[in-house]
This record gives sequence, structure tokens and C-alpha cells, in this order.
Amino acid sequence: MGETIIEIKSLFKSYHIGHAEVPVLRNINLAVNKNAYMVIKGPSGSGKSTLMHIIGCLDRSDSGSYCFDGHSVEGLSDSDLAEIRGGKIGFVFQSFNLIPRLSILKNVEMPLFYLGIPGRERSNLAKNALSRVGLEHRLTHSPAELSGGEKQRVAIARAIVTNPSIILADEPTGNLDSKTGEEILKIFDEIYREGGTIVVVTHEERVAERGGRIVTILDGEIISNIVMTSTKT
Amino acid sequence: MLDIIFMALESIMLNKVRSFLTMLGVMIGVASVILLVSLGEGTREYVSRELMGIGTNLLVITPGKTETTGHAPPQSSTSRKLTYDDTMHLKRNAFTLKDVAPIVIGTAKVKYGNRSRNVLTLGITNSFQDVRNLHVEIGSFVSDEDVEFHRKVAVIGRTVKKELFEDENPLGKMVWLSGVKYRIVGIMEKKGVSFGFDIDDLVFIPLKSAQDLFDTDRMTEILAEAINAETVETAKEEIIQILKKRHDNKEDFSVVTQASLLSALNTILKVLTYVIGAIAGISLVVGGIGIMNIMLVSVQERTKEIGIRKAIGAQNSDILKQFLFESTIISSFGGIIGIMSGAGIAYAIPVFFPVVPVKVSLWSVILAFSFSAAVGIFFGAFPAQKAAKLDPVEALRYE
Repeated sequence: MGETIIEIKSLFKSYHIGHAEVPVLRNINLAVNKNAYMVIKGPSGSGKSTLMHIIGCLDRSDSGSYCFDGHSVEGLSDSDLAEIRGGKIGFVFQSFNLIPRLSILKNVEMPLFYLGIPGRERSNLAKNALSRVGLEHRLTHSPAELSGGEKQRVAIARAIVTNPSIILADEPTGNLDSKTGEEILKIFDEIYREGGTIVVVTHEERVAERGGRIVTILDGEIISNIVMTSTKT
Repeated sequence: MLDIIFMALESIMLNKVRSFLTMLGVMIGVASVILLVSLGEGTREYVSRELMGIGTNLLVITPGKTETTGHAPPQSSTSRKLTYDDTMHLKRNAFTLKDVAPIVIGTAKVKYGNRSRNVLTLGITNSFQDVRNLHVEIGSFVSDEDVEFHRKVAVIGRTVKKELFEDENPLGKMVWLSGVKYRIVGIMEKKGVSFGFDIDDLVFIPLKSAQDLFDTDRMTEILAEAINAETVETAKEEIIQILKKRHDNKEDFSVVTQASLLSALNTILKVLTYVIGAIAGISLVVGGIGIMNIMLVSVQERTKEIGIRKAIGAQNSDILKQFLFESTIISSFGGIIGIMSGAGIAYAIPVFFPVVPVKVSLWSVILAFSFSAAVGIFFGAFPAQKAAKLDPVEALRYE
């Protein structure tokens, strides 16, 4: 199948709490192809969020290798990582993580701002992204005026506005009821159909079922890696 | 760049009260720097203006050595006085002097009709007018013949005229000067108050008449005018040479040049201005600490926002700039308002207190403004660094 976008080999990560070293990820090996819909599943505390942070270049591993889009990430500076996050990765968080004092439009424009895209173009691209999630009519509203589902749609618009190589979603439906959660998942399906690459972290079975591939993680180790051939074509 | 400034402005506007109060610290600091420096500069300008008005290229010779450093030699009782002959000698022999004006000063009771007044009375020669830059306005000044023949004529200042004669014309009138009858021949032009002393409250009489009146043959001081600014120092040497020869080769007198007096006063006042400016500057530093405090709170409050911004691609330097701009804008704004209020008060002072000399100098404005901007950068740097260095994962987790 297509090119690999993420390639992780024997990755380890642990946290230091006082003098104790708590291992979070142990010997992770994972490869994700372009235009894949992968779900990382596991109970809370299993290390799946940490894995997602490392994939998303927010965090660094202790050892092992990680290639993103053909380039090794180890040894890159903070600013190189920020560049990757800004240009190639789109994050969607459980708690939406919109900036409350900024309008919807400004929130979506923000990644473009850090990419150095000029004002007018920024606003056009942001409006485009918002119309893709069906929120083109709420540009000037503040996040507080939106429902949870709408907030998450804004967050998705923010994630896709830079046309990233991969969308990383951490429990995207965790704060939503099942109906609105379903709407969000439908948007992911659509992005996937249009050729996007999606990695969703979840502990919910119904979310996991949407993926073309389910990686289950427990106590920092990958315990199963199933490719679902039947559900998606 | 502009976007980041705009972004910083937005967050300042979001916390209007807080931002204003933070600004206030810098504002007060800048305003007091401007105000105090303006007072200092104004005083300095006033002093040099007044001192220059006394005359040009002036040298003042006073009896007794006052300029010695270290221990004074045991003074013999034969301390020489400055005499009229000394003056004449200088006038005749000094090449570098344009003119010499000896002065005898005393106080006399001036009486006209039933009014009387104690007035500082100066015995002078005709050259006094040009050397001291004080001129007669109505009538005539003391002439050389008046001096030579001990004539009992007097020229009075405006204040004396007003006090003794009111609207009456004093020319040709007789007044009693400590019991001696004098005829008024002239009225001086109005000069006003200088260093708190009323120049118009004076009576001028011929030098030799003054010597008779005060029963002395000493000159209180001798004013000398050098030919031009370049010869002032040479003139000083020449005066010393000539007078020493006449005083048994002893330097028992002092020669002070107007320029050295001016520069000495200038230096003192400059230092004073810097000192009070620096004291006011301390409040600016306190204002800066206020900015740092608020910025730290702001960083803490916006930890999550910083995490979000970093997750979607903000560089550490982007975050640094955002907070640095914020603190710098706050302090510069405070600086601008401070300059306006400081300068405003400085300009208002002469309106209410005309005696207080004030001068808002450009350098103090530029200095205060750049200092306030620097305060913002300096005290904003630590909080901004702190924000920039936040770990994105931990920042995102912050609630």
C-alpha cells in the first residue's frame, strides 16, 4: 500500500516522578501509511495519549527511532518540531482547546498565522475550513457561544486548515453525547475518504470500530494490531 | 510582526483595568522623571541666563585669597586692600582688559520728604554701566568728573524711585543719603529680580563720594571686562601679575572669571538634575517590577493557551514575542502618558508659580521614553522566557 508517514521503531518513554522512573511506553513499533484511518485504543493510563503526543511531535521519546514523513524526528530542535506541528499535523483534543477570548474565525486562522501566511489569505482559508465542517455562518462568535459538537467542529476546522499530512485526534468524542459524537466521526470519515490520514486515540469501542486499523495498547505496550479489511474499502 | 503587536494589544484590551493599573506605575515614574529633570534643567538655564546677563567676559576681583586649596598660610595682619589706585593701575596697564569698574558697597538710609528707606548703595565709576550691563534710562549716569570731584549726585533704581517718589519726577530732587544731601540725576532701567535679589532696589553714587560716605578706601570688589572671550584667561593672569607687583608680590586677592563661575554652577546643577532624575528613575524600576508581576500572573493564567498555541505550531520565539510585546506596549504606553502628564505639569507650573524655572528638555523626554520601553523589555523578559519555555504537553494539561 501507499507511502509510510509514521514509522516508529522500539520506542521507549518513561516519566520521572521524584526519584522513581515510571515507564509509560515500552518497545513500541508502529508504522502508519498515508491515507490510513488508524485507531489507538486502550484504557486510561495505558500510555496512548503519550504515544499520540510523541507522534504529534509535542513530546520526545527517551529512546528508539521515529520517522515522520520520511524524516527522523530525533535530534530536531524545539523550533523544528514546532514547524512540523504547524505545517504537517492537525490536532483535535477531547476538551476542544479553543482559545476562549478569540472568535471562531481567529481560532481557525491561528495555525496559518504561525506559518506566516498573510492576513487576507489566512481568513479565506479559515472560512473554507469552517464551511467544510458546516460552520461558515458562525465566524464571529466566541467559542463560549457554541455547543460542544460545534466547538469540536471548529477544532477540526483548525486542524485541517493547514491541509496537514495527518490528523491526530485525542478522544475527540469524549466530551460529547453519542449523537453529536457521531457527527464528528462522520466528518473524520469524510476527511479520510478525501485522502486524509487520521489517527484517533480513544477508549470507546464505537469510535474504534470506525477505523480501518485498530491498535490496542495496554500498560505501555501494543498488544494487538488488527487491520479491518471488511468495513472500509 | 504587525499581527503579533495586534495580538498583544488585544490581550491588553481584554484586561483594561489591570493593564491600566500596571501602566500607572510606569506612568508615575516617567512623569516624575520628566518633571524633576525639567525643574533641574529650568534652574540651570535660569542660572546661566542670569549670570550671562551680568555682563560679558567678566572677571571679578575681590580682596583676600579665597581660592587657595589646602591650608591657608598664616595670615599677616597687613592684608592688603584693593584700592582705587589698583583699579587705575589695571586700567592703564592691562592690555587684555577692555574696561575696569571698581565698586564700593554699603548701605545708606535714603530719605526724601518724610519717606525713608534703607538701600544698598553702590559707589561706582562711569564704566560700571557697560561692564556690569546695567544702564541708566532717564537722565544721566555718574560721570568721571562726578567721581573725581566727589560730587553728591545719585542715580536710583526703579524700586527706590517707586518707594520714595511714587509718580513724582525725581530728576533734580534732593535726597538725604545717611545725612548727606545728594541730587538725583538719573533713573536706571528696570531689571527685576535676579537670584532673589532686587536689582532695582539700588542707589548708585560716584565712587569717591561713596568712599567719603562709608569712610573707607577699600574697594569691595573690582569688575573687569576682557577684550573678548578668548582673552579672559590671559586677562586673569595679567590682573594677577599687575596686582601682585603692587601688593609686595603677594597674591592677597582673588580673580574669578564669569565663565568659571558659570561652569562651576552648571556642573553642580547638572549633577543635581541627574541625581533627582535618578531618584525619580527608581519609581520607574518599581513600575517595572509591577509589570513583571502582572506578566507572571498573565503567563500563569494563559498556560493552557500557550500549550494550545504551541500544539498548533507556535515557535518558542512566537510565544516569547507575544508576551514581550505585551509588556513593552504596556510600559511604552505608560511612558507616553507619563511624558504627557509630566510635561503637562511642567508647563503648567510657570502659569501658577512664575518664579519656578522649568524647562522640558528633549533629552529627558527621549531618555524617559526609551527607559520606560527598556523597563518593559527588561521586566517582561523573564515572564516571556517562562512562557516560551513551557512544555507543550504539560501546558495543555493545565486547567
